[in-house]
Amino acid sequence: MSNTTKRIVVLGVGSELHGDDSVGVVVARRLQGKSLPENVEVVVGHTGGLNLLFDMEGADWAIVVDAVDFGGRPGEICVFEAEDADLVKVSRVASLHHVSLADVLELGRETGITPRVTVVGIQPGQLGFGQDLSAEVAQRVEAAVQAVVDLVAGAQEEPAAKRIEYSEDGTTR
Amino acid sequence: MADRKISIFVEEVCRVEGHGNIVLNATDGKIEELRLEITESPRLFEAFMLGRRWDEATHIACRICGICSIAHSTASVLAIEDAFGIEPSEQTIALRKIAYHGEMIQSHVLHFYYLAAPDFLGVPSVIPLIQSHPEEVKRALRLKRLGNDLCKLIVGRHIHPCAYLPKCMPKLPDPAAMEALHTRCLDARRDLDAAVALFSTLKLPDFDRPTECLASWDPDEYGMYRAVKIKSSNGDMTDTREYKTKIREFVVPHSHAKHAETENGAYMVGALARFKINYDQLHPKAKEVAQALGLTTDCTNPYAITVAQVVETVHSLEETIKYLEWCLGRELEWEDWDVKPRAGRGVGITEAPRGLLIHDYTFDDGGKLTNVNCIIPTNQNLNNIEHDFHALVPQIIERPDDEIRLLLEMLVRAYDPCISCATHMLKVEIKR
Repeated sequence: MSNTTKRIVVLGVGSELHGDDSVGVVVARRLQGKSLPENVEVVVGHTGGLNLLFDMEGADWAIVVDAVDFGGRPGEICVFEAEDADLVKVSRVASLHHVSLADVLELGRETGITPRVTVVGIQPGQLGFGQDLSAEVAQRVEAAVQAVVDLVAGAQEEPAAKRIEYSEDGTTR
Repeated sequence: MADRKISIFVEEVCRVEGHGNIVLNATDGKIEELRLEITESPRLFEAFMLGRRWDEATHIACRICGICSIAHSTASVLAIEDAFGIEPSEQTIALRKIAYHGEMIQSHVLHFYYLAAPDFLGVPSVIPLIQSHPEEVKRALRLKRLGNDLCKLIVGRHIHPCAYLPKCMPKLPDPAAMEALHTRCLDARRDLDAAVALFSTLKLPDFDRPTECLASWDPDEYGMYRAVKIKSSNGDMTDTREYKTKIREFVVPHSHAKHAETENGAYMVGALARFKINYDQLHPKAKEVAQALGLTTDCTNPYAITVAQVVETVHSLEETIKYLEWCLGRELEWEDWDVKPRAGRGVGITEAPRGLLIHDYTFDDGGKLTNVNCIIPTNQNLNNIEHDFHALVPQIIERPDDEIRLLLEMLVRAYDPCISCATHMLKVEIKR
């Protein structure tokens, strides 16, 4: 399969009612307004739970954008392969409204439904009720958008994306 | 057992929608407290629909539930059509039914595979089943996705439909996409055969309590999409607009969700109630499955609701195939969607996956809502669940706490409660 026909899904997830948790959705909406290669589909997944699996099914590569607590400073961005990460899981499925992304990714990987998954994680500042992003996270939305654009651009040239980490000032390291 | 104190508190019963607690306190075999507390905050949909226009009503009402939003949309459009004197075309009804049964499939599959099956297989959730039953998990995901995609094909999204309106469908499905889904539905028969084989090996807890059942009734088909009347398991029929003569809602101190009763007391709605009341109209393939699973119309074991859901999934799949073939066999036409609102009342009654669902609207001359009443299946089942508790606990009170706890949780889960809809929740608290 040539790289140009490789189907890439960019999936922005999170709740728009929980502060910085919405950053994945905000980034996905920005990306929907950009001109991206034809093989890239941007999906706003909200809090789709199990249904997020089906958004990724059939793609060759999924880029998931979400608020991720990786112990960074609010607004810090970390790009990593889901496979490499030790994601904290909620194994007690309290309800289908509460299936965590980690559970979804595990279910997808173990059943072979999901393709390779790269996570663009943004460290949240506050996750309380409210529809606004914190100032720290809001000012990093463009950097997160750029992180996805860079990943996608890289995929047009070579099949495997590199691990990229973004420091607070937006530079890669 | 001398001086045995039982104190069980299941906080936020898991694998149900919403938040509820089970409380059981007993001393020396005597029950002191036993209840299902519904602690989720009230959501007040009926109040904030007031003053909204008729064409906003369905879009607001469907947000009551993220699992059965198409059932809420169905009740909503039926209520609007009843109020405005609209008869939708055969084409519109056929298209709606594809989405309606698609939702029934995805909701039932979700419950019997993801929420209920782990109890029977002795694991806490579906996640460990990936290792022990990988093919089952993949099958469950395929079926759920099929249900989602059927909804998306017809109404634009798998939940919270954008294209589900009174009078006609504002979107016509692409024939090639319908053809592809038709093929997937035919393939899904094999997946359902395997699901039936799995469920035929599972043993239900031994418990029986006869209770009145209510379900939608339609002279022409298995009562689901639209109630022509409400039918009771005792044979009584109630006109849809007169539902309040049969169903009385009331509040109890320990629940943010209302309870309900008929003149005979607590009653059951949902898959088992429908099966018992409308069995004659069930699809022959579903009847075969019921026989294979040992489900009969004299069943009084609420744990068998899950089995009835398996049976109904077969019915809904066959109905979906039928309506897809109907649509594929003709050129679908754009229809006139001019709706003339008028003052008056309309009642729409359908079956959500969890049971009888009523939307009752009154409009003013301008087509704005002046009164809204929604009766949700889980509200109707809560009273019945508590009656089940009181019948079940004396039979199991000598068993270890963990076993009592599990049986109570499984009982609540069997009803597939959607507490978010009903308030809307669930925890279990046992004190001995």
